[in-house]
Amino acid sequence: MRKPFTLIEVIIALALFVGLSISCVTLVHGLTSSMESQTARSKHVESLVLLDRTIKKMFTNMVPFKWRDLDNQSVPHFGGYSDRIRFAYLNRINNLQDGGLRFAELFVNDDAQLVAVYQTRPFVEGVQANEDAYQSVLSEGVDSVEFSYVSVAENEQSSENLEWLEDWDEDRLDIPLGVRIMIRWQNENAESFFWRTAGNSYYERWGAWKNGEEINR
Amino acid sequence: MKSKFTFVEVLIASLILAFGAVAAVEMSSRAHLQTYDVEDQWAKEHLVALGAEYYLLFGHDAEFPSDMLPEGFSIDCELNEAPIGDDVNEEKYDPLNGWILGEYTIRLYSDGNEIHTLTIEKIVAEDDLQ
Repeated sequence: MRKPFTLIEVIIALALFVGLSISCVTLVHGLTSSMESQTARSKHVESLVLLDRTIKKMFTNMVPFKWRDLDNQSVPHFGGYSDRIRFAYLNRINNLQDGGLRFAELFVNDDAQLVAVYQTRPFVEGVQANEDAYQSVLSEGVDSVEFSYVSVAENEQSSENLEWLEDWDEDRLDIPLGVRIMIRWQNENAESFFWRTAGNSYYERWGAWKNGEEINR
Repeated sequence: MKSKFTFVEVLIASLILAFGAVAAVEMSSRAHLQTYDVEDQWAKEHLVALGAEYYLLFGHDAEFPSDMLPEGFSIDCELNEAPIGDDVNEEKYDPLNGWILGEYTIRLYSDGNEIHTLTIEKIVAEDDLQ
């Protein structure tokens, strides 16, 4: 008959078992939390890259555009505010019906999402055409966005005196030379994006160098 | 009757388990490091692109706003005549009506150490060259 285990043997076996169990649980827990944080981090990087690409594509192709309002008067389409922006940009022609222009608006909605509303027809007096518009979420968990706009200083034409504006005068026929967007997330991260519009630079401008020209109302 | 495991068998099984655990930890930490590397690389590219856009619009000698960069980072720009390659016709690089091919060099620094550089060739006014 098999000899029974002594108390010491049982205690040692139990201690070994407990030790091994703790090691295994610690290892699995460590691996799981590492995997979770790594997934969250790579998602964050992925969303930043996507956001950067999308904003770059829209801002760098931004162009001036005029459209008629409800009084049939031709007015600038661009709307630059500190918390939202509305603009027209050149887009690849996918089909003849949609054309090569897109009209977009960027803002933070009530669900803390930075969204872009796109449509193939202009916004009339800043109102989107619901049947035509579609929306994409550019980033989640956004606390606030802050837009600022680069303009040539008043009564000047050259690039030597540029200034930052928090809002863009609705009557201006030109669009900003560059747009900066500062995004603050709810987790206290923040990131700045800045792109020149319409191929503007220190030496080049889209169209004539007519700084701050306004419509005649 | 079922035979018992020998000491050597138990030892080998334990070793295999230990190697498995070490491999899992190593894979996890390597994936972590790669994610950090990608994030770091993207951050550098992003900041230097911010600098490029800024200097191309405001001019190479403009002062870069510090609030556009994270703490500890700085950026500067130089504008020089673009280098002429060995096998090219140098006449093509001669200034024309006051315009010449220039090269912007944008450098990103972290705590005073250069960490990334971007060069952009562009036609610029001859008078603006450093």
